[in-house]
Amino acid sequence: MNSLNYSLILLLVLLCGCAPSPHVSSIDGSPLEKISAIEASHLYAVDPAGERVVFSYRGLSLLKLGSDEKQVISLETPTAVAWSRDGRQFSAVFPLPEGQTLLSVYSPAGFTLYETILPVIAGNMAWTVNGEILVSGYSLKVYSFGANLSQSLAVIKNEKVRFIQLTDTTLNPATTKALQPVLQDVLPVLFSPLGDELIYVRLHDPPEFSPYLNVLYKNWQADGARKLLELPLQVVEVGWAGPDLVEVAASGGPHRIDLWPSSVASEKDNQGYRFNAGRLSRGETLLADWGPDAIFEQITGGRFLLASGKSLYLGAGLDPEFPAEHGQNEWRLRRWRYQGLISSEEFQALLLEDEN
Amino acid sequence: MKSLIFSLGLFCTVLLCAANSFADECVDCHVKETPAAVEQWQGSDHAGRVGCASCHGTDHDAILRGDSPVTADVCGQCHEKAYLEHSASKHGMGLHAGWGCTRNLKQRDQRECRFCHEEGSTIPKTTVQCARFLTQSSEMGALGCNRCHQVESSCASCHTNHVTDLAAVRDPASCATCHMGPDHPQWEMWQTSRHGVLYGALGASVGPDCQRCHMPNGSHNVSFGITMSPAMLQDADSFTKKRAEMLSICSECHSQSFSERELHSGDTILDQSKKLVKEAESIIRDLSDRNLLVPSLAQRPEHPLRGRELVLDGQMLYEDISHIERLFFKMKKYDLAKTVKGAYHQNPAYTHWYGNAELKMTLADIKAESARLLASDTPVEKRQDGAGESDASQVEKDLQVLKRKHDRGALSDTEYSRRKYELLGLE
Repeated sequence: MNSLNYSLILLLVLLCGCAPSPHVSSIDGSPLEKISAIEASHLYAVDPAGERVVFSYRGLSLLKLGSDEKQVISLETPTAVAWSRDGRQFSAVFPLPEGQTLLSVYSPAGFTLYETILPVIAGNMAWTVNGEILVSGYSLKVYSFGANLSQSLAVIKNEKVRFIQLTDTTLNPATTKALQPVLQDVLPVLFSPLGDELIYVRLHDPPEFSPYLNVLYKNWQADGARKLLELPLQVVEVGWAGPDLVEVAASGGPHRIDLWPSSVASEKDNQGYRFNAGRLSRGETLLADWGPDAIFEQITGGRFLLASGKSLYLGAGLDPEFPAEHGQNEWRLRRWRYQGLISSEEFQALLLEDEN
Repeated sequence: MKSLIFSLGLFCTVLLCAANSFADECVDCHVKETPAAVEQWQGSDHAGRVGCASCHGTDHDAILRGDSPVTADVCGQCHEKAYLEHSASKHGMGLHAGWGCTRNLKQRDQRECRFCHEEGSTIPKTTVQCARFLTQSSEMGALGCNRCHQVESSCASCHTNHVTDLAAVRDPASCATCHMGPDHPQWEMWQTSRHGVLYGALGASVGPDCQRCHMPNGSHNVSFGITMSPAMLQDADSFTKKRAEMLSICSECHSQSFSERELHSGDTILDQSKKLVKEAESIIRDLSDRNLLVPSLAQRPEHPLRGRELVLDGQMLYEDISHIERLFFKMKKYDLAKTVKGAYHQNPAYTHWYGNAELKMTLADIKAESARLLASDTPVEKRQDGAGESDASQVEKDLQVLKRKHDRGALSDTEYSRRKYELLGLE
């Protein structure tokens, strides 16, 4: 009996030993360092110097990387967080009742610099290279005959807010009832790395037909939007597969859309890291696949942050030359390209000239 | 054979009697309701031959609703020669005087077909091609536009309704109702020209009137001899033919060489004047490219035929436009018309003072207004950290101007690329 018990214990130990340990691997297969639990993968942001990360776990916290210095900024759970390009501020948006959102802007040390209330339900947020805060959001006014869904982009600079209307749609009562709880998922907004352009989804609900979606592309400093795709109603995920390459995960398989087909990716772009739908690639080489819910952020010193499975990890092993920096000239040139003032070829030539 | 002829004669007689019988029915009532109309008809050549129903039909309700007008094709059933001549002339497209149907004209902009037709269809989607008409109220359209332009379909425009005495239409004053005013003052020009004065003093045998030159021998083709109407002029051969027509009239009194010189001078004045108008037009188009017109194209109602396009041609409007466009309208519609038509009607005061002088002074006004708008152009925003940013913003503005010029066809693709490369400093 003793030998049987011993064997059973040994078997259990062996089984436990062989069970996969709860760690996420880095690109070289080594385990990543878990630095915190996190509410959701997208709820973190790191400063450009790679020194501080703000994230959401039982409220909003600020952590100095490489140390245990953690500071609770707010007890409320934000909808989105973002760090400014110069590292001098970070921001968070918190849901408020009655379809409103509180935007809070903080110093790097976590002091509140200013707050403002936005009359929308916020979705996504980003800082531009020019120091503007972009907050995408929507408002839904429900009436007896249906609802009015209005998507807009708030642009905040020097505490002044202006709104750019993206869409304005009337919904049938049935559509309103079915979609109201999940609108945030049905209407994703993706900002470009520079914060100058966005990919967003517009919901159409014509009276005599089924509702459907349009995936749109826009430079928010220019008029008009470009339609990329028309899709049946569904939850859609959008992501950047390259500098001008958008990937839309939807029914019928992923759709890869080249926003500027005649442009040629630069050598720098080709050698850069790309992260989409949980997969990290360099050029054509897949380096890691952390699952579709993972969110990756490259930081200085060859390090990176990864949010996956409600945990936030710190990793290393990337080429320290990247990420690529974007200047104001590229911002301007992209706007000109969008407005049709310069062609894709002219854009590339000017960008190359600038880089040289 | 004899019985056939007899039968036909009997049939016509019956028809005539029927018509007159209808006429008798109309007269019985209308001698009280519209006594002057009855009196005029009874005193006309139509009396006893062409009854009321022949022209008006018998549906009295339709007549009362205004759904049964006596149109030119009704008159044309008997007056075929006049009808065909009229139809072939500018009067025959009075209601379509914007362009008329231009399908047979060479080198025509295909977009003009879209004014009236859906692609591939011969059925017109609109029968009115005048943007100015479309922007007026229906009352203004009826009284201010159609009263003259209905000449296309209403012989009564000149001939009156029931009077057939040709003295009414042989008097040049019958042209004056329409051919006068700031945009085509032919009546005023002719009256005070040598021709008009001589007509007044010594009659038509010495001083030619409108009908003598433009409706020779009673022809209803009023475009006879007219060389400056694009709708009627198809090519160089047409010009030569039309000029020969007019010279044939002038030569009845003047030597051929004199007539040729006079009309050639008019041609030259036309070309010179058009150049000035072209200069003004390019100034305004450049301002539009720079988005300096107020109201801008985006701020004003859409043009009824062209949408958000700057329209400076024959479809130009005189409302919801900028001041400089208003000056251009006057220059093109009034000053140019007086200069050129004054020349062709041998009136020196209209050619020079009312026309040419005003034309050039308006151009001066346009240039001054352009300078004012350019000077008032909003300075490029300077950013706080913007060394060179203001230069970049100016480059963007210049790129926008170039794009607008290219998009409206003022720059070829090659020239557009070249100027962009120059602006951007690319090789």
